[in-house]
Amino acid sequence: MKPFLHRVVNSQVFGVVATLIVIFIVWEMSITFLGVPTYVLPSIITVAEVLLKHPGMFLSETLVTTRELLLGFAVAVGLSMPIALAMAYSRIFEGLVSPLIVISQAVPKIALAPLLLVWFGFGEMPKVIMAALIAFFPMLISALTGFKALEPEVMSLARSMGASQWKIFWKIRLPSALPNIFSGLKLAITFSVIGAVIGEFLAGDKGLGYLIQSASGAQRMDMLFAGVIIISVLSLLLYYIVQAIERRLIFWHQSQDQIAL
Amino acid sequence: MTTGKAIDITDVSKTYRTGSGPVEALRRIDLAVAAGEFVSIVGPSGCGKSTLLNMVAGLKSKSSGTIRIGEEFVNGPFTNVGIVFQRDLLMEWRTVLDNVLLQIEMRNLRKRDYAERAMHLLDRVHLADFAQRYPRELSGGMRQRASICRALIHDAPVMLMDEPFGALDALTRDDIAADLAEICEEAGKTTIFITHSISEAVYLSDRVIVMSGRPGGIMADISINLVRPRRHSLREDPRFGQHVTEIRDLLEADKDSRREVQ
Ligand SMILES: Nc1ncnc2c1ncn2[C@@H]1O[C@H](COP(=O)(O)OP(=O)(O)OP(=O)(O)O)[C@@H](O)[C@H]1O
Ligand SMILES: [Mg+2]
Repeated sequence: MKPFLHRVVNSQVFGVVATLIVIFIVWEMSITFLGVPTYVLPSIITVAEVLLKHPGMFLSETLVTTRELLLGFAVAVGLSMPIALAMAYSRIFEGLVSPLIVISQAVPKIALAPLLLVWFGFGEMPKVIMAALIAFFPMLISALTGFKALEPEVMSLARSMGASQWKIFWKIRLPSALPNIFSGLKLAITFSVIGAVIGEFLAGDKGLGYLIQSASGAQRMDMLFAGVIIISVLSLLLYYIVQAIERRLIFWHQSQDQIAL
Repeated sequence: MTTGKAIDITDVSKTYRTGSGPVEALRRIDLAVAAGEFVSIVGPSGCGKSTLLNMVAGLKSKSSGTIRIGEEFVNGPFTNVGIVFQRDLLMEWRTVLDNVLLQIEMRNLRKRDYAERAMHLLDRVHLADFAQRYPRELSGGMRQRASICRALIHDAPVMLMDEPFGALDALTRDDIAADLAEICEEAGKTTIFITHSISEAVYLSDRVIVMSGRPGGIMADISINLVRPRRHSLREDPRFGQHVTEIRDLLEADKDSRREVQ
């Protein structure tokens, strides 16, 4: 194959587009040939129509959700990183905190939703918190794994160089944790989307989750699917943004090999 | 070559405490290394070679005894050394040159003052063309050469090496050993070098310390009075072969005696 063609076929965008095309074909065919009624599955055409008819409305709902999920993501990252660091540096702290975290992880987040509503009302806050709650755990575990990844021999080497803890952190521990941190960030950003949408399902009158919920109530399948598609695209887009940053920062790591064909 | 004791290990023992009881790794080790001397340690796996080296570097605590490097007693990490481990421990996110200079940065020295020396060292180990490459672009042998440069860059008087060529194939390790012999001869470093290869030990060393199995002790201390500078042709010298045979016989005898005990 020509190198250009080769690169196109191997690129991620190609994969995504190809997958989408296949999904759309199966989708349309099941309506046309299997006779799936449109109140179960609307035609992709009507979904596209509704998207094009109300671009402003979709955009503003998308912005609402994006804002909530980014705030939740920021809270999750902002909390989990220092906690992971403290756990990596202090056995005692780790011993105290890890049972708490595991237990909290066992509580289904959805079950907390009514409580969030009681505590924080119907505004943006409970959605942000829901996003943060869901994104927190994978981020924490990944960052912790990263910060603890230093082999004892590397520590020996660093100590024989007379390096301060501070230097060891910035020059060795943090960079070697980056691959794990980015795995965590990629999980966290997609989980934040889920968290924010769940939050919107439960209460309030804004956002893509609310849009889906009310479309479902009104039997507007075209609207509902439009919402689902936007959420998927949003989630994908955010994931790729994190991944693009990852590729710039940790081009040296073997995880980047197979992608960089 | 000066003759003061650069490294003095006196009556050092080490017992590890483990969940399943104490493990006596080393018993009453006495070893003095003169300044500029290259001393190899060979011995069966698990006899405590790495333990001893780590104690010399102050990276592991001794159970008893004293270790002195130069005028200083070692109690805690000793920094006036260059260390090479079996694994190269290069930082994947740094270029080869920056990996060498890590030593400088960690010591709060100025990189600029050492850049030229770093390039010179890389050139000595045939890596000058790879200075700006990343470790993953290098072969195992090249990576270990880079890590040797990292141990040399700050020009510490003492080099400690724990099976630095253990992970390399025979041809590559002979090549690097030849380079190392040259560098150490020129720089007059005091070196403790652990290896599983008897011929490598003889080739590189002024003395070879032969250790016995657990608990590790020193079985023999063999002076290698072969000409320096050492060259590949030395391996054909009959005395070279005699030394290798002598050490191999010692190790075999130790193995046999312990088998009988069991
Ligand atoms: N951290 C540790 N805790 C408990 N026992 C240990 C520890 N490190 C080493 N040992 C034990 O001490 C003994 C000596 O280990 P050491 O690693 O020094 O041997 P070695 O001579 O370097 O072996 P090799 O040639 O395989 O590298 C071994 O029996 C080992 O099981
Ligand atoms: Mg060892």
